[in-house]
Amino acid sequence: MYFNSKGDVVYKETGVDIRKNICHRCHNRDKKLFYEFYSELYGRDVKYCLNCIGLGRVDSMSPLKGTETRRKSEQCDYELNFELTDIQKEASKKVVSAIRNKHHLLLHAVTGAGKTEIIFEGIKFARAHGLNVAVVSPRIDVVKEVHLRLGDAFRKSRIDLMFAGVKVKFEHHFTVCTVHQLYNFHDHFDCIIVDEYDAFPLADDKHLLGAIDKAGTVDGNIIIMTATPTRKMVSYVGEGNVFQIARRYHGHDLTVPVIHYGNVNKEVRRKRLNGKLKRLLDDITAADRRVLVFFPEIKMMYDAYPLILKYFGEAETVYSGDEARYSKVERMRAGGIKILLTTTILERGVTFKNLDVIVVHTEYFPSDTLIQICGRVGRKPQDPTGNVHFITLYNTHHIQKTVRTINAFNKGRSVI
Amino acid sequence: MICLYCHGRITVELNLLNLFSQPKKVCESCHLKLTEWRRGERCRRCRKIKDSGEAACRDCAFISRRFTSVRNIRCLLDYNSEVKMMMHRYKFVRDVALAEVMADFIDIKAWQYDVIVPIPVSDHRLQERGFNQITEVLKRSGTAYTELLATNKIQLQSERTKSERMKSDNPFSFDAGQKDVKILDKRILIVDDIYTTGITVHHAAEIIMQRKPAYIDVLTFSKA
Repeated sequence: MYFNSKGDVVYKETGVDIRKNICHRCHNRDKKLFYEFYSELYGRDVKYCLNCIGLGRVDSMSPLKGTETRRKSEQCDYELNFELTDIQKEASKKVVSAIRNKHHLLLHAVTGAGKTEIIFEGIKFARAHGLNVAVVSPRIDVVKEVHLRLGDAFRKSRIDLMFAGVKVKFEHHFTVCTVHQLYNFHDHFDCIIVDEYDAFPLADDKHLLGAIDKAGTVDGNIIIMTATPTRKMVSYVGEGNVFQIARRYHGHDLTVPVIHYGNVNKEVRRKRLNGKLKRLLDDITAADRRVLVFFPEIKMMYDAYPLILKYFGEAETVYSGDEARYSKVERMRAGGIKILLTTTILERGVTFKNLDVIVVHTEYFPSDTLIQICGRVGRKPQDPTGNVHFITLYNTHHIQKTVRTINAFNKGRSVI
Repeated sequence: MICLYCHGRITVELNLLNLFSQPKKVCESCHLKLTEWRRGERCRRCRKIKDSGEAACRDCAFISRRFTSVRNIRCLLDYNSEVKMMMHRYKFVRDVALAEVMADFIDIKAWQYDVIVPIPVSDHRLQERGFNQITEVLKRSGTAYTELLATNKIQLQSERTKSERMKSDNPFSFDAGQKDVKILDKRILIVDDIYTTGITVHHAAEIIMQRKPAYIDVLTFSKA
């Protein structure tokens, strides 16, 4: 069922249990994440859950209602204007067999392996058998992109789309949404495909991870897709249920980062642009390519911004709270921006043509972020390599691990 | 402690300065976002961002033609995107915890005013929302207030267009239960949540003016 205030089934008499501190929608039991106040209107204390307030208030005064849905099979044909590679076909078969045999699966695919196309066959199979399918991700950017691509392929299907404030609802048979939206589902999806399982905020939010289990049916399966799996994920799906794709769909190697040493921030504080950074940017702009410059902190990015503007005339910045964030990414895609300074928000889910990447103060970044960042370049068959530069103060374990992982991928070794 | 706005954890290092003070309700980064004022030239009186080429604030000009203006207008926060979101969450998602956040910004001293009057909320709205969005904040800031006025207004100001607001009749009247409150030569403060065109607070002021206070000031949580 899915929860909504107009629902006809009363799932629980009150959404929040005032004495036991449980939110029945998101299963939050953390005492700190409830708020209690005396209501003059009701003449008594009211308690509500802060954890899922973004989806509307669930409190101790009103019942939690839902709507039961009927399963319906549908012939979901898709169009694909290119052929899958052999390894993609193999992975695709794995996904179908995981859905058929109802076991979890971890798809460990390098960045740019063509993950989205791999799940098409699985979705078709599941829908033909009347199973409810959800494709979810913790990132809104990824949700939008996946929805676009699924909509392009599955022309005839009605795909639900839900993320903060945006709702396109049909019957919730085939849904694309953020993980947060799964709070509103209970025992509903037979197959949940989670893209970018390790991305913030899903990775360290136990309520969100619980939401995936809760939204799935008891014997349903979960397919995890990630480029940077952890031991925890492997033990979650089971040792034998891991499938690795070490090659990008165009068959070229992943780009190995080049490491430079330098202290960009110190020179920026002295109103100077680091010589290495300047030379790299010079080369990239001279070759008429585009570049993403990653900064570990927003403040550091804004300090360096005027210096880069001074030397190169044009540049843009983007960070998580930026209102013009999506329009700037669009402009970058269209080629209107040559140099884009960014924080880690663009580490996933974006594809630009002719792109190079520079990471400054690489010593701040963890290795899974770095692997994602390296995966931004060379995603198009017309430009399959690209360059990645790390500028760092000193070498770290995470930098070494990144280089090691990418080398292992290129040689086809397992890296978990 | 958690931040009541982003629900992240607040870690405060204890020192002699903050050892005995109330802990903050929002984390530092949320505080920065909420207290940001959008750029642009503003009306000196109501703090509205002027359109380019607008010499004097049109809203204030209209108000001064139609009403006796109040003495001072003050607003605590700008209506930036973050505050907009907070107001939406507070009033429509009914996240009452945010009243504590707004109460944190209130800095009225007890000696400044004799009577503090919140703008009333109609019974219909109260039933629907479950709380009075203004008194809930005043209560949490420890400010004593008097619910001097009553209203028969059903429609939300935000559901009306500007011209509809301008034409509307005065929806307020003195609350029958508060007849003995002395207004004559008292210092009055009217409190509202959002100041948009100023019609609402001036309607309220118009009623109170009948009983000849010394002066009336206006405080709003946010300026749209």
